Amino acid sequence: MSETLIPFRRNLSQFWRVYSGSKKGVLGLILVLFFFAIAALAPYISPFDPSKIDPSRTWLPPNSVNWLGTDWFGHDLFSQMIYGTQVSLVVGMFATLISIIVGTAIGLFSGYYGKMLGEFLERVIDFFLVIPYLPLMIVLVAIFEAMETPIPILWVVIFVIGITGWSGTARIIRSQVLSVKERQFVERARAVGAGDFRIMAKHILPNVFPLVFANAVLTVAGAVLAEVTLDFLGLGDVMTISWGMLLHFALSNSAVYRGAWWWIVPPGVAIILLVMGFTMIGYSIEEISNPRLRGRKA
Amino acid sequence: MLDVNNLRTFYRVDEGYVKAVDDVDFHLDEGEALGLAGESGCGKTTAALSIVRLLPSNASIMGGEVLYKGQDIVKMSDRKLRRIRWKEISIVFQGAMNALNPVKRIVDQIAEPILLHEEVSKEDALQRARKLVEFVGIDKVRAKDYPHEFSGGMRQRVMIAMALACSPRLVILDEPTTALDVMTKTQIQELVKDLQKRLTLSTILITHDLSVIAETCDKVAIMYGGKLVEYADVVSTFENPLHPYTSGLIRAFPNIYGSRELPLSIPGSPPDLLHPPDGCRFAPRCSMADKECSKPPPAKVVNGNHYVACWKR
Amino acid sequence: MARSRAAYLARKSTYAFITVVIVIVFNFLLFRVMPGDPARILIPRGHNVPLSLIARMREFYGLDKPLPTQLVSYVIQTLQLNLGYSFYYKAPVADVIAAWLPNTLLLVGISEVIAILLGFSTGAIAGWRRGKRFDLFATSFGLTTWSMPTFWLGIVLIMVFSVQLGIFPVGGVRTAEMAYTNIFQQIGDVGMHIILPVITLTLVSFAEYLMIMRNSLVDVMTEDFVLTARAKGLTEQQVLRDHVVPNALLPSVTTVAIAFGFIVGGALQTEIIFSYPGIGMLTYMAIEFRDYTLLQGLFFIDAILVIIANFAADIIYTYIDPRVKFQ
Repeated sequence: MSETLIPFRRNLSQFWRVYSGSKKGVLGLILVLFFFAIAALAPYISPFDPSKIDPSRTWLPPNSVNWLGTDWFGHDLFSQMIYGTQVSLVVGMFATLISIIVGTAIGLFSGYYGKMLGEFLERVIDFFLVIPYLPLMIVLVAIFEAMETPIPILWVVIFVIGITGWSGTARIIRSQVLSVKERQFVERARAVGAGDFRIMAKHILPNVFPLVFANAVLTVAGAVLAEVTLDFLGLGDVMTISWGMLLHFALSNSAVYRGAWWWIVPPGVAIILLVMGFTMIGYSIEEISNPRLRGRKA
Repeated sequence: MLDVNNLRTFYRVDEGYVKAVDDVDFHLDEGEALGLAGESGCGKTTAALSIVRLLPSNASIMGGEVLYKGQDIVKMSDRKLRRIRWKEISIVFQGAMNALNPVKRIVDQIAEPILLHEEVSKEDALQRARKLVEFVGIDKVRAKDYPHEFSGGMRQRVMIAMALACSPRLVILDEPTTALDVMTKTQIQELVKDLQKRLTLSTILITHDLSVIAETCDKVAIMYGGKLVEYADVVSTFENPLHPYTSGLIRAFPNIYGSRELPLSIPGSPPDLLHPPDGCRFAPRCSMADKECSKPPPAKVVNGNHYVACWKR
Repeated sequence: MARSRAAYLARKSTYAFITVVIVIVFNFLLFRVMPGDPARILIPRGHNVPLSLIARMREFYGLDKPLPTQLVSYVIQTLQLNLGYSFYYKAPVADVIAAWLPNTLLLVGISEVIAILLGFSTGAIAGWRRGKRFDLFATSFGLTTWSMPTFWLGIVLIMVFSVQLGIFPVGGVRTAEMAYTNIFQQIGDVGMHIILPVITLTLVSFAEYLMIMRNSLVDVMTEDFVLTARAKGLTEQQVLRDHVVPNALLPSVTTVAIAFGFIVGGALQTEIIFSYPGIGMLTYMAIEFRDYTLLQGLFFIDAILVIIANFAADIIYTYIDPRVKFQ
């Protein structure tokens, strides 16, 4: 591990060489890029307007016009599936952004400042790890609803997922900071008079970066699942077109009893693929950054 | 008793093969103590581990034979090999490492091979284990403790006790004193010498520290870059080192009785074992090297019982 | 150095207790954060709520008293398991939860035990045969089930087995209005109802345990004492069983404790899908009917369960790792 700021570009190309050798990593990347493409190209590749209703074509299984069939109102499910990609990605990424920022900040401070502040923050991190996440999210969204704030529910959801998911990141950052803190070069930097922030930014962050990135990718996976679950429970924005909402309406309209598998299976499969994609990428990066996980004697 | 002939053990990596042990021979009789010396990475540990085929999954014995009492270990079936392990040939790893299972009691770990290889009751095995603990100078009471409750030196003793559990004929000691302080080092050395005499044990001692070999071994084999460069009895080697590397090694250790000179380190660095040079592997660092040493590998010259692989002798 | 396991655990239970208190305070603050008159939100009007109930709730929350006093009395009351009154069920929250909790414990208990046994054993073999076919299949399978939304898996199982094939009942925990003549009939009936929920929850949890054990095992395999074990002449199975797995279990137990937070979420979803009358279903009802007092009580119980599970993991850990210092 280099002791000064790692030359970023050189490490990046070296990293890519190793990464592209990992089947898991490449497959995950393909999946994720595929969904990003669909989200970006939605207006161009969607055969219908997803909110368009056709009362004469309800509850249809997949056919030549509606490739994934229609729902109870006559929406074309294929179009809805395509547009649903956007919500999942947006919520996933933004919520993760919040989690990472909060988690990194708390992790950094907790690790860097020992004694009272550090210990206290460590307890806070552990506390958030212990709290069951789904009930917490439900309670938070319920409260926001009761407050009748003007904030659009989509952003409420993003915010709630973000502030319940930071503890994993914080834990990783904290342990990395603790181990790096003891090293010689930090002492040297301090002796030369470098300020605290400078030390953290210049010396600690670059070493911590790969693990944080891996953790961030895995957090996106979790955030997508959380968003889908909240939508399904009816806590999200009922007007948005998302995979979770599709399933919510499917269930509330007895799609199960009507055997409308085309309404139920595709959203699930899409969720699985997207989440798997992010997870595979995250695991690959973790394996590459942590040599022991590769099983060789370090 | 032990004949290692033309042993070749390579490690498989993405870019090819690392020739860690390249055509090495040595022999051991009953009750003999052989020292296997060389710097880190020269292949000595790999060579010793090859004797019982205790290699990581990416390493394999590519050629040669390891004859133990006439039988070739390299070609042996796994079942036969497992019966030889520890019962005939055991190993003392560095005790400072994590070579002991942290969640098992010492007495259980020592009794484990006894129960495996011999038909004894659990109680008998534990009894023997406790006796062995005492044998190496540790209070019997401590046998039921866990590894983390012992100091480095004591863990080394435990490793020795464990290695003797099945009364083996040959014990391989891998850097047994390297991580210890000088006082403990001497104690362990004394213990090993004592055991060698009492039990007529054959031993192979792996180390980079020539002084330990001088103290405890009968013969010495010096390895460099995966190859055997000198092989003779200890007295001849130290009084009359034939290979430049050996002389370099000896000079690198300060001698209390010798003239007051600064120890000389050997300039340069070890060869790349992935693509080793064709000629003598020590040539790049050798003060006596010339054109002769760069073409084919040097011929083996035998000088009575003193073997050396060098063009210049 | 006092090597007392009891003292160590006493210390840990103090931490657990403090965490419980923090949860209660957190719970309290959550609902006070709302602007406006808390009374409007916490104490419902209309809905045929009897005045006596409103009065009791007003008393419970003590809304006319200053905030610090409210907080203290709330903490004390909650610790005494006085969790207020559910306006929807017209009964004390604690009683309502107590009635529905056993079903959840049954579901989660069975599922997690199976998931841990399956997950750990599969993970151990996968780690041991790292990179080979078993490992690839196991990790791919685990990856897929982990990426599945729990509720979706439940829905699919219902569709296939209950609706299409008619093998299992669609929901609930027992056949309504069925009078049990003997215990076996009861077990059989409950069993039929609980199979699909158990499968759902087990499948989703199992992946986590698999990965935890697998990674732990791969780490342990690189340790030197594994080489020593092989050198002794032990077979690969013996090395795995006697040396690798016992050490791989240690970090696995601690990591499992962290997974408990997710298990509650999974159980919640499963109960909702299968209309299984446990506290997950109760949570859903509480949201539907905006019964915030009930919701608060449920959140508290959820957190308690996770804290207890963590504490249990701590206890177990002291028995399996001899290096734990009891100072």
